[in-house]
Amino acid sequence: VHQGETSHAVFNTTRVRSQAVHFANQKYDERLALHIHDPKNHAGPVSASLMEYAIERDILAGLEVLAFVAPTPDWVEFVQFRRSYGRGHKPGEGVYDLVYGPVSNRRGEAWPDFEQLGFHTNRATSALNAARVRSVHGNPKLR
Amino acid sequence: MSDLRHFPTNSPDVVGQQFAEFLDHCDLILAHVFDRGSRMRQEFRRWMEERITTEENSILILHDEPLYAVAKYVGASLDYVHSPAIEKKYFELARRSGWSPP
Repeated sequence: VHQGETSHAVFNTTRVRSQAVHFANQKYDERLALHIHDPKNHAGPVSASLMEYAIERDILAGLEVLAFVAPTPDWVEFVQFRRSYGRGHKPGEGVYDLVYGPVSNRRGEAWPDFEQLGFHTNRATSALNAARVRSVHGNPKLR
Repeated sequence: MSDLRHFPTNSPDVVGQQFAEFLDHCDLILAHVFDRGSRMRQEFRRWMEERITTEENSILILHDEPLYAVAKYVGASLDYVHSPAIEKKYFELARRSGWSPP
């Protein structure tokens, strides 16, 4: 996901695309491995695809956003809170429209150079413009 | 907090250790959460070890929680994984083993 016309783009889109391609190809491999293991319960994957969305800056500004620009102690606390107390983001009820930050592994450690942007409400997802889908015709994996 | 650290994916030793731990967690989850016997546990380990050694971006396998990796393998739905009975067993295992909950 990238930020459309926003001039102060948070992401290096080339790097993010490269990560997304790796991730999509890995999910393809996983689906294929599951299909080989148990074809009755796991349909075989057709191809890895990558979808890119854009969001208008003014709409983004109106959303309730929680952002972590680095794996700080605050971020670790947030990850632990999310994992320990159910599925909401806030101490009470509810979620932020959008949460941005590093990706954690199962031990709450940050994956170097991996970031994620989660759209958690209908308000947020409905603000996303139509996806541009990227896949390679005749090739199950992305290049 | 003092336990903040990056996961050095360029260190074969650390990555190998992470995979070993991941496999051990999956094995315990198969046994104690999904009540699967030793045969399936061995099959799962072989299946996952093959993925780890053959897939191009196998490091990304570690993005998944062991609970979800095992659930996919046994064909369990997300609703089933989050059913009270399964969550209770998982949290009990996580508490006994000193894991962070997913």
